[in-house]
Amino acid sequence: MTGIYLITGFLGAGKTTFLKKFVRMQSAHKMRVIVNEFGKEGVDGQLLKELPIVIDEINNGSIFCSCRLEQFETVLVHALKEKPELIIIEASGLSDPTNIRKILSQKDKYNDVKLLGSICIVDAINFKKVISTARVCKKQLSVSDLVIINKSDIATPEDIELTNKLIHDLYPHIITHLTSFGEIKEEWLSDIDTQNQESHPLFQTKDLGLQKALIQISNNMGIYKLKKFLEMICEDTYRIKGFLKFDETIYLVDCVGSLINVEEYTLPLDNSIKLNYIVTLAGPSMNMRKSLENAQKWYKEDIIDIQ
Amino acid sequence: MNTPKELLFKTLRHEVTNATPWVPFAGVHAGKLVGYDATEVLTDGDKLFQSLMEVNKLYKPNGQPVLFDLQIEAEILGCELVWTKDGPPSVKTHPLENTTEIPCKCTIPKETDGRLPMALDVMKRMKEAVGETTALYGLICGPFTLASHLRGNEIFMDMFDDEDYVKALIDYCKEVGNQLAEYYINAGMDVIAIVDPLVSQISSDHFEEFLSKPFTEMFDFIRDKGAYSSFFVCGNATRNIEVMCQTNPDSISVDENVDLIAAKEMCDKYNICIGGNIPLTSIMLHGTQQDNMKYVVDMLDKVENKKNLIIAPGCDMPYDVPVENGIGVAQAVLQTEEVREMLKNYVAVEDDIQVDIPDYDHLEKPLVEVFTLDSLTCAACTYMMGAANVAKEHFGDQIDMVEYKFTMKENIARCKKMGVTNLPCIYVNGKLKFSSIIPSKEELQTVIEESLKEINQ
Repeated sequence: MTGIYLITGFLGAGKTTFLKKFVRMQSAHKMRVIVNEFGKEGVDGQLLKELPIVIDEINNGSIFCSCRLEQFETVLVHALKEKPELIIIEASGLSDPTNIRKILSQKDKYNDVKLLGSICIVDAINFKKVISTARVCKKQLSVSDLVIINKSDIATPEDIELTNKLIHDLYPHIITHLTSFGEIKEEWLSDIDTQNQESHPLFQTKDLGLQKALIQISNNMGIYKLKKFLEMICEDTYRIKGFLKFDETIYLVDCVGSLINVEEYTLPLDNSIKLNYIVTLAGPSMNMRKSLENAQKWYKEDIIDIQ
Repeated sequence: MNTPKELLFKTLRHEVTNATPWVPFAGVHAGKLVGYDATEVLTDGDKLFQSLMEVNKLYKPNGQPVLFDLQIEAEILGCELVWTKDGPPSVKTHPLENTTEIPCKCTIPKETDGRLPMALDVMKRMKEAVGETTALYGLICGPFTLASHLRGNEIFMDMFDDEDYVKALIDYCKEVGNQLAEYYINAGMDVIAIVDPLVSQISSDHFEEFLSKPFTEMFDFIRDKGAYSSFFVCGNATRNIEVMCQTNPDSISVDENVDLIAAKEMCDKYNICIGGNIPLTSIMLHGTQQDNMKYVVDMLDKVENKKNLIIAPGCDMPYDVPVENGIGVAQAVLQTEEVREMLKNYVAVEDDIQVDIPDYDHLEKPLVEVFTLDSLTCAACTYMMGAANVAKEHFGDQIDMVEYKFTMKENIARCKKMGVTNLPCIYVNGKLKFSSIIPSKEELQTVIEESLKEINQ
C-alpha cells in the first residue's frame, strides 16, 4: 500500500518551502515526490543530497489540468512501480485538485494506493485577494483535510483573522493551523486521521445566515447532465445532498464544496425520502442563488423547480 | 466552390450546411506523424511544414492550425521557456513580476522577432500548398493568459488591488495580439483563434470587468481585417460561455469539461459556432479507434441542430495520440453513416461468420493484406492502399495482395479473428508491418523483399 499526500495551494503561497520541511518530516519512509516545474525555487539541491528520495517532475505546469492529466498519470504510474511507502504530490498553483480524486478513484488502476490527506497552504496576506479572483482557490480548499495558513510572521493579526474567517465561511469544517516559513507539526497530521474517520461531519453549529434551496430534478436528466449541473453550482455551496432515480437506478448525490460525488445507492430507502430532489446549502456570503439561476438557464428542461 | 475549406467557412458564417466540418488541433502531435519531437516541430520551420502536410494528408481536415504554441509572444517579450519533447514549452520566468510598469508599445513584436519569421514562413508555405482546400488557423495567445505570462501569479492579486493596472496590462496584451493577428492574416491565415486558457480560472463577473472589452475589440479587429475568428478556452469554462459569446467571436471552442450539447444551445442563442470537444486523454490518447469513431458519431447524433457546429478535439492534441485515432475521428466526421454501420457491425458481428485465415507459414508467395476503413473515402486508407498498389505494380505476380474494407461484415469478422484493431494497416504474411503511418515506396518494398527471401529459402 502506498500512501499519498497531496499538497495544494495557490501560486506563491509557499508550497515548495513547506514541501521541503514536510519531506524531512516524512524521511523515515521510502518516498517519492512528484512536483511540477513552476516553483520559483526547486526542491532539489541540498535536500536531495541528504535524503534518499526520488523526485518526479511534471512538465508543463498545471498537473491536474485536463489537457495534462495524462502526464500526471504517466508519472504517477512510474512512481508507483517502485512501490514507495509514500508519495507526496505538489500540485501546481493553478491546477484543479479535484481531478486527483477522479484519477485515484480508478480502483482498477490504483487499488494499492490510499490518499492519506490533502494539505492546502494558504498565504495569510494574499488569501483575501486570490480567493476572490482565482476560482481554483475554492477547489483547493474543498478537497483539503488540513489548511496551513502560512506567512504569519509578516501578516497582521487582521490579515490572519480575515483569512481564517474567509476559509471557514466557505468550509466551516476545515481545520486550520497558523505557521510561518512552511513549518508543520507532526500532531497536525493526526487531525487529518481524525477527520477522515469522522468522514467530514458538517453543520454541527446552527447558522442563521445559512442559505438553503430545494431543487426538483427531472427524472430524464441523466447522470452526465446532472454532474455538469452540479459543477456549475458546487463552488457556491457548502454541501449538496439528495437521492435521484434515473432509469430504475437510484443515486446518492453528496457533494462537499467542489468535490462532486454521485454514486449508485443500493440500500433500502426510507419512505420519507423524496426522490429527485436535492438540497443545497451555502453560507451567507456565497452566490448560491445567482449560480442556481445561471445553471438553470443551461438545463431549463431538467431543473423543474427551485425553492 | 465546394471545398472542405468552404464548408468550414459556411459554418463560420452560420449558414445551414449539409455536413459538419472538422478541425484537428494537431500542434505537437503533428510531429509524431513524421517522427519529430515537440521541440523540433515548434522551432524548425521545415520540420513543422512537413508535419502539417502529413496532418493534412491523413486527417483530411476542413481547417487546421499552423502553430499551436501560446508561448511565442511571451518568449519574444522576455519570458524564459522550458522546453520538452512531448508538449509545448511552458513559461518559467515573468519579466513584469517585480514591476507594475506597462511595457512601451515600442515593444510590440515585429515580424522579425523570436520565432515569428519561422511561423510566418510556414504559414505562407501552407497557404501555398493546401490553402485552396483547407482553412488555416493562426493561433494567438489570449490577452489574459499573456498578461499572466508577463506578470506571473501577481496578476491575481492585482485584480484585487489595482484594477486599473490589470486593465492597462491586458490592453497592452490586446495590442500585441492584434499585431500578431494582422501578421498572420497577411501571411494567409483564414481564421484567427484567440486562445486563452486562463479564462476558465475566473468568474464571469471578473470576465466582464477585465476581458469583455478587450476581447470584443480583438474580434472586431479580426473581422475588419477580413478573417474569421475563434475563441478557444480550456478547462471548465461553462460559467463563462455566455459572456464569451457576448464578445462576438465567429466561433468558440471548448474542451471536454464543458457539456457541448448544452453549450451549443447557449451559443445558438447568440448565433455563434461551437467547436469541440473530443476528450483528449480518455478517448483520443487512451481510447481505441472504435472508441474515437463512436464518440464522434454519438456526438453528432446528440446535436439536433447541426448548424454552427465544428468537430474538434477539446484542445491541442496530446503528442502521443495514436494516429489511427485521428484517422478514425476524421472518418466518423466525413462518413458518419458508414462508420455508424461499421460500429454496429463491429459489436454485432458473430464470431461464427466463416472466415478463412490463410496458412501464413506455408504461403507460396508473399501475401500483402491491406486493412482499411474504406480506401475510397478515408484519406489515410487511400494512401495506404496506394502504397500497396505501387508495390503490387513493382512485384507483379511475385506477390499476392488483397484489400479488406471494414465496411463489410465479413471483413470485420476477419479483423476480429486476426486481432486487427487499428486501421488502415498493412500485414505481410500475417504479420503487422505498417499501422496508420503510410510507408514509403522503399520501406514497403524492403519488407516485401525480405519476405520473398524468407519464402524462397
